[in-house]
Amino acid sequence: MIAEVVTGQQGMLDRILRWSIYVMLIGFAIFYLAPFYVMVVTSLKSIDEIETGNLMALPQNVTGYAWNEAWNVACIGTDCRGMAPYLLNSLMASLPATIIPTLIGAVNGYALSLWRFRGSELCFGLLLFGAFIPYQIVLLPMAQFLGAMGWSSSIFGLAFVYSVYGLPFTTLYFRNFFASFPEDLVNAARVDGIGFFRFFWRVALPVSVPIIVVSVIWQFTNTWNDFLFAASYTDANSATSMVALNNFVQVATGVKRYNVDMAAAIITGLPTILVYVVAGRYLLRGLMAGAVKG
Amino acid sequence: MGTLSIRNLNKSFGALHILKDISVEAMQGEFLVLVGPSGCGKSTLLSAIAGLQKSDSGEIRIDDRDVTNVAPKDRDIAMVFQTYALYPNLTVLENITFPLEARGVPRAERWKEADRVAGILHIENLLDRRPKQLSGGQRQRVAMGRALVRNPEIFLFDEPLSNLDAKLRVVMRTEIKKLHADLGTTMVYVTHDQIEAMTLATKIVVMKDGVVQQFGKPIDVYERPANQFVAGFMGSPAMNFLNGTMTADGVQVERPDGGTILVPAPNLAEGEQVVLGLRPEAISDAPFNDNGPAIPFQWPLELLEPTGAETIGILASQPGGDEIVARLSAKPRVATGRAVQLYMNLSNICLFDAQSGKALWHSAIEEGQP
Repeated sequence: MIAEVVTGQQGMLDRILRWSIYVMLIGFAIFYLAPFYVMVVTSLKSIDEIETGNLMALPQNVTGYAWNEAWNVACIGTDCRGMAPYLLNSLMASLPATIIPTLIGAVNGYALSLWRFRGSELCFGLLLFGAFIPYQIVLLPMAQFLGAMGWSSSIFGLAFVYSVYGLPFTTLYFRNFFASFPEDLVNAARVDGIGFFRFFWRVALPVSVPIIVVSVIWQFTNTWNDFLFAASYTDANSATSMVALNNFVQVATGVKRYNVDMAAAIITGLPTILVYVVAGRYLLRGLMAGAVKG
Repeated sequence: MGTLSIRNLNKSFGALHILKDISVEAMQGEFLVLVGPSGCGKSTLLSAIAGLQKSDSGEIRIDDRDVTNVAPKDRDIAMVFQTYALYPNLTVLENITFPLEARGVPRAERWKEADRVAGILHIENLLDRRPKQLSGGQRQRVAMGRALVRNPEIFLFDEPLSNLDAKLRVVMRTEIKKLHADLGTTMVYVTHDQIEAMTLATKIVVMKDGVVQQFGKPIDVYERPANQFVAGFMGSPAMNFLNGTMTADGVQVERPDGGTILVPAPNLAEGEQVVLGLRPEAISDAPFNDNGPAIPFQWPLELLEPTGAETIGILASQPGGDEIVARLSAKPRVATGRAVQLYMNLSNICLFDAQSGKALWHSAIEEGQP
């Protein structure tokens, strides 16, 4: 009898707690999604409707005008080709800056935790140091270096900078991931005569998919969203979408075309959202796999 | 072919001296078992043989070739790990053939070898599975398959059965013994389980604190332990130790209920304190008929633990001494709680120095030089 009463009370308390968690989560979700909602509905309204209507209201007449403007027509500076070319620039900088540091970071982390050598800890410490250097400090020396190499104002130069600054992070991720990798597997490989790179390609890399995803998301979003390096090392032709968006929104004269601004902003942000959605389900697994042993 | 020779091997980790001057020899076809409590250095020794661990000084020779500074892959050894160490993303077939692939063996030949090994280990139907789809016993077989496929001079086993449940462990133990009989390849096997050591070995190396305590045939290690540690470590239930005093006629042992018994033994040093080592099977509730000389004696019996095939008798311990265990018949006609009539088999007793624990005398005759 007593046991029943107790479980009844606990069940009640349990339900109340559960529901308060749901209410809280839904509240936060609304809070965070509200700006995105406003962006989407605004981008689908005409200027007239924006000026007369409610910010939160759904569009009365859905129009693709703003999206067409943003993608094909909008002027960045004097160049009126829309956002499309700059999106391509961003992609050309971010894709190599995602793939190359992830691959090199994987080899680094693999070597630093599974094939230790004298001084490997020091090596890792120095590499890690790179993760703590504020970008502003290297802005000028890097500009000089790019100039000396003849890579100024080029997408290649930008991709190079991104790759170099991504390495400490990707190395850190992979090293921590491989730190929990069973040592016996490496010993077995050593006894069986399976070489460093053969083991890497056939076993270590395939097993590290979760941390590859983490590294890809990290590098892609960071480089895609970067403004400082992109604004410093590119010109009108090689500008990334972040730089273009800024120019477009800041420099526009006359009436503020909120709908076009919003459409351009969504277009610019869409690729990172896409990466999250596609790779996101591995993200949590990857972060935990790196953090917790075994 | 397949000989192993370790001479004066030393290894330290910082201030920790793990291997102290280890010297061990194994002939072709030997089943060498390294046994000892955890932390005794047996696994470190195996790692040194494999080349996964560099030794500080000393020499390791395989097939009379100095391999002390040779990479593991060039030592012509194969190893089975305690954790199996299967490559998780590869199928069983790929796991088994991976070492061959690394050596550039053509695919057709790799598959033929895999088939041969799978046949030996009865894993033909598992070849396209991945490790996580296998049971512990199956993983163990695959790990052995990966070693077998190499046809090495020496197999190394690092506690291969310790992750299996008790029943499977016995089955796999038998299979490993059969495998050794069929292949005739030299094997070095690490375990902390003295029963595994006794059943599998042709030679046992008993280790403690990085020192080889005894190196010899299993029966010699069992019947003629070199010291009290080896005597207590090998055998289950463990050997009983009784405190006694050397006299002209033998060892005088004090009974817990007063009085003494005299165990005939050569007079080594009159008046010296010694420890009499007595296996549980050397104490019986019935006279030993054909097992050599025996003496009757009285001793208080405290408890009986029937196991079916036999009954374990717990005898009263000497003041300050350990529990005394006897293997009695299945249905002993003795009552607990008082002194009972027992018999001591004299053909299997040992005497140890009370101070150093070193063996002074064994009544069992040596089987042969190790």
